[in-house]
Amino acid sequence: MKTEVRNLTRVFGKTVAVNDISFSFEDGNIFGFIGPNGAGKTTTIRIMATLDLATSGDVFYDGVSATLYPEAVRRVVGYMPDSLPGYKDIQVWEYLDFFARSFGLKGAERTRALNDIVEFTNLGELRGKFLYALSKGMKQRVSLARALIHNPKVLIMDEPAAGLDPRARHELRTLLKILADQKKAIFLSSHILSELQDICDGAVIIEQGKLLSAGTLNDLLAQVNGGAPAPTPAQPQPGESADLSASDAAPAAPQPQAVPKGVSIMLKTPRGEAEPVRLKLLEHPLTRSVDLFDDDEVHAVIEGTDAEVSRVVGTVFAAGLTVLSFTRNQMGLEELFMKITQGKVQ
Amino acid sequence: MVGKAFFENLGESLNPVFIKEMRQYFQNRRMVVFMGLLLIVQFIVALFFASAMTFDTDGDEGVAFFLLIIFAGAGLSVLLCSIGAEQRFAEERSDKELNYSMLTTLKPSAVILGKLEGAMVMILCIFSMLLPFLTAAYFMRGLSMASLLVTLYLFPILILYALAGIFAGSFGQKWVTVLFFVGIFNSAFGLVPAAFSIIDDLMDRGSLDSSFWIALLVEYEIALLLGVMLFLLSLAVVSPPKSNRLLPAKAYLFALPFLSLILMLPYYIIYGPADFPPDAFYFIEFAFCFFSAAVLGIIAIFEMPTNSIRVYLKCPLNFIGRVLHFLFSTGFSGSLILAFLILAIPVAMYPFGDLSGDNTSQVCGFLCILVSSLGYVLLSLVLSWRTKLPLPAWLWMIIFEVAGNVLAWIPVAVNSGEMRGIPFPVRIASMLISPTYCFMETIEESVASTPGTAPRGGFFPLTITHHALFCSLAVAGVLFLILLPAIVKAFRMHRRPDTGAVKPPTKEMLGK
Repeated sequence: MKTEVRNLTRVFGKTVAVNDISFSFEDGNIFGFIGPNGAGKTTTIRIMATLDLATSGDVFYDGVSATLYPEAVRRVVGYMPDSLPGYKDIQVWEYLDFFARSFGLKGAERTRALNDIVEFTNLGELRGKFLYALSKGMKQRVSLARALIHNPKVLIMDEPAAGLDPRARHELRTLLKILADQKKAIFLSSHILSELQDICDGAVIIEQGKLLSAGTLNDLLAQVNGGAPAPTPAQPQPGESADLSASDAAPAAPQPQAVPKGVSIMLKTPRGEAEPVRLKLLEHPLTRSVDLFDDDEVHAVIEGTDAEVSRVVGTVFAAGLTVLSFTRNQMGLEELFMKITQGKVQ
Repeated sequence: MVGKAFFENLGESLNPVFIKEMRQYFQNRRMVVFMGLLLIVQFIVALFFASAMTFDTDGDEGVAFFLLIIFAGAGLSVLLCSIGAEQRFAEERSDKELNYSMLTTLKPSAVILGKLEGAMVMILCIFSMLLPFLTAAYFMRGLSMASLLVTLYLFPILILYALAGIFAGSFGQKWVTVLFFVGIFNSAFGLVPAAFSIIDDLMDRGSLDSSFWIALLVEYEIALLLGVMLFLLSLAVVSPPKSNRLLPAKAYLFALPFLSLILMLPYYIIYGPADFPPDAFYFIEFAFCFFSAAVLGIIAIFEMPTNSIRVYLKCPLNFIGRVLHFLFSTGFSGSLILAFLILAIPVAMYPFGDLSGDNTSQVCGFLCILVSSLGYVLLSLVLSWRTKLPLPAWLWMIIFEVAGNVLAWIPVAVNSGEMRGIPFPVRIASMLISPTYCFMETIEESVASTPGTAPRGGFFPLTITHHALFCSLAVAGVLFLILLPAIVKAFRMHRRPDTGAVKPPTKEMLGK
């Protein structure tokens, strides 16, 4: 199922919360939605989930308008907000049963759906608990179960990892990967960019309601790392839609060469010989910096293409120096975010 | 096997919201505590009454005990099924991201109906719980069949309370909850004495005659009409944004004056043509028109001039269908036109109404109030949509109502609190700008026109009330003309857009 956000604009009074943004993605992939607080993420997500209406523009699911057919769209979209009601008088099982019934699931089909989702989200022990008695992590699991109860093709999540402990975050990541393997399209906003980098195939970055960048993760990183331009437009022109689908991009062109900013090498030298090694390394034109640690360790940053860096590293090995660590200094999603956003809010 | 299959099918056919409501009612601690307390207190009171019984032939301990039980049951029903329903629905609606009516494929009508069904079943549960004590009351003597049937009077009122709770809760706003509490509190002052009065009358009567059933019928009819109104208004609030949410309510309000004719039919049959009160027909019709037009006017204040594409998409292609769709769809133009169409009914009937002098004056005065109020609605909409003053129409309306009422009463205050003696043009102007003044002037005139009660300073002739009515109609007409371009523009926009490129939902999306 192709999800297409087309020229979406949402105005509240004099504030333009979302300003003419367009992008699209397809199933089987996980896409991150990144932006500073107040960038318009939740507004966009709410419109995508049919909870709000756009001032102009629309969201299409396989070409079907969310504005014109919200009830139909809800059957194929699952929305997971960042909170869950704290009802004191309804149990987890009853809550899920209510949503299953509300989506028209009946009899054995409903029982099967409930059992499957409880097993998938590991809610078996929580079935009889009241919603208010759940921890944040448990609530997120119930919320995910609720969003998936009708087996939607598109899952939209607003800050799903917020407030979760590392174990719960790990579990969530695992669940999302399984869902992506089940050919569901997952679109999630998050502030924990390192988490997104681990699981996302693509990302959309907005600030002040405007689309700053969009594309597969490789495209985006390649761009900011100075690599070849991505085959899909990362910053679409007004009226154009940035296609984030990794599955579309991959067969059309070879994976873009992500040029590293450089490599970091930590060398071990015989005691007292660190300074001559430092000076030797500094003579090389690709060396950006060399630092000494104690008197037998050298940390060097070398910048260049993969081939150039390989030559330098070869020289190091040839000199008989012990390499303690060797790290490729590629810009991550967090650095990318910091680089292309300015932290402005509306 | 058959029984199991039957109950399984029944369970599947129930409204999901109703099932959720019942689960929540019975798992709510407050519910369990209050119901337990009620049972314990009833039991203790029953023991007390039983011990106090004197076994006289004309003892009436049963009556007191019976009244105690049904009022305790009614109080608990209001607490749990009206206030409780309001609280729960308001909580559900306050967080828009957790609002299941927007997250699922449930229809808004299913949500409201499920809530109502839940409240009604709970009311029945509460009264079923009281049945053993009611039986005990019967054996304590003093109870007639008439007094037992007083419970029939209670149910529509309790259901209306529950619907009012659902309506207030549908907003999901704290200020509406506060208003609702104020309303509940105030209504108790009116309803409880009224209920006691009815019960007292029944107790004295001891047997059931036709007037009992007529009064019951009237109550059920009024409750039905108000209940449907509250249901449809709740539906409008719960419906998705920019959908055609007011269509059912508008259609109902427009039909109400015609429905009133059907409702009058039983009384006409019971009384017969000869004994049917001569003014009744006109009065009832007038009351329904007044109510419908006033509610439509209030609705118009909160509406936008145009609609969303969701509404336009369902607009019929032929001209007549388009006009009807325009009139009944969300948007102030339709509400205003419908309000004036309804207003035209009593105005047209007025010269032909076979009314006594007092009634003529009152009808004329109330018509004047209605026209003036619609005039305020028009003025508020004109200022809100035809000028660049950045205030919403409802705020203009409040400003005018407050200012108009204050201004109208200044001459009375200057004239030592007397309306008599104020020049007629000032009195007519005051009637135009203040509904409260208009109401008081009508009463004043009714008193004055009663034979033998002519005041010393001369009275306010009926023709002046007519002048006030015609003046208010003229003012409303002028304001309507000012707003006409906006209405025409809205009608021009109200057409089905070119849907050639719109892809319809797939079978999977439609749940087939």
